[in-house]
Amino acid sequence: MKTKKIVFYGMSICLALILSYVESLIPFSFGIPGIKLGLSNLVIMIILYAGNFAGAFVVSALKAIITGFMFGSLSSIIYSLAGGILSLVLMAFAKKLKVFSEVGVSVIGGIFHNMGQLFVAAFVVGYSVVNYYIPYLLIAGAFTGVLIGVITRLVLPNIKRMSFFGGFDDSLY
Amino acid sequence: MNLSKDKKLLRNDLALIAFIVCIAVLIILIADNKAKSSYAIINYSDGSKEAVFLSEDRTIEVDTELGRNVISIHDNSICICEADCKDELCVKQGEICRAGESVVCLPHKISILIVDGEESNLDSMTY
Repeated sequence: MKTKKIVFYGMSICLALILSYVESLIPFSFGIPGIKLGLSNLVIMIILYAGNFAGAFVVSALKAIITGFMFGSLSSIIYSLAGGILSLVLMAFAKKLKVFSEVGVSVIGGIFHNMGQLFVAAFVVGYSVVNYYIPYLLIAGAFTGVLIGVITRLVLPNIKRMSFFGGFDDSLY
Repeated sequence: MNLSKDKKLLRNDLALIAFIVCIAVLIILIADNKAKSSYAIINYSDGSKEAVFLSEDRTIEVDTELGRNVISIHDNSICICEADCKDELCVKQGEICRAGESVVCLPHKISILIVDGEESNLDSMTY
């Protein structure tokens, strides 16, 4: 593994962790439990676009596990992993389709992050109660997805230009 | 990426968002109808039972040898609006509309219990 790679992914995981901590400080709520801003999804989006799927997967999984150990509990790890992996797989698929821009891909990620958590919740607490949340989670996921997508669009060109990593050419991955 | 292609992608994004919001609104509307499908079970003095939907406005007159009650259903709630029993406690209780609530007229042996369309087997949940 090249040093650049180690540094890049190490910093990515740090950034994802810090963003989820910052997020926990912001009293941002839709009044529905389980809905978050999903700031750390920004890191995943940027790795997905500037790097590759495998890197994004590792960062997403590690972020879920480490935040769970630091701020959450075992159940939060399971919820976060389910949401993170489902949203990442579908984001990668949506990106491959080349039909949507970063905003659309991020909206899909936001929605299915919520849906993945909901599937776990459905196993834990029973489907009939959980399904009342679906429409609100859809709208919230779309809203946060747009936010993250727009930020990604603004940040991505600068990240790609960054000389510190020698640019994001394929030789890096 | 050239500008026109970028615009096209952004238009697709908007279509996606609109599609999702439509689905969400649709589910909310369907769920709303479901919520109105709660019904009440009326237990009569002869032991017979009747289930009535709270969504249909109607008036039921019950005449038995014990006495007379008038049950009225309107605006998704149900009440005993008239009774010729002594205390009229059932009338004083007024309208009920939530699952689990009940109205009882003891002297005339009539009880009404509201049941939700979809029964929940949970006490509470945490996130």
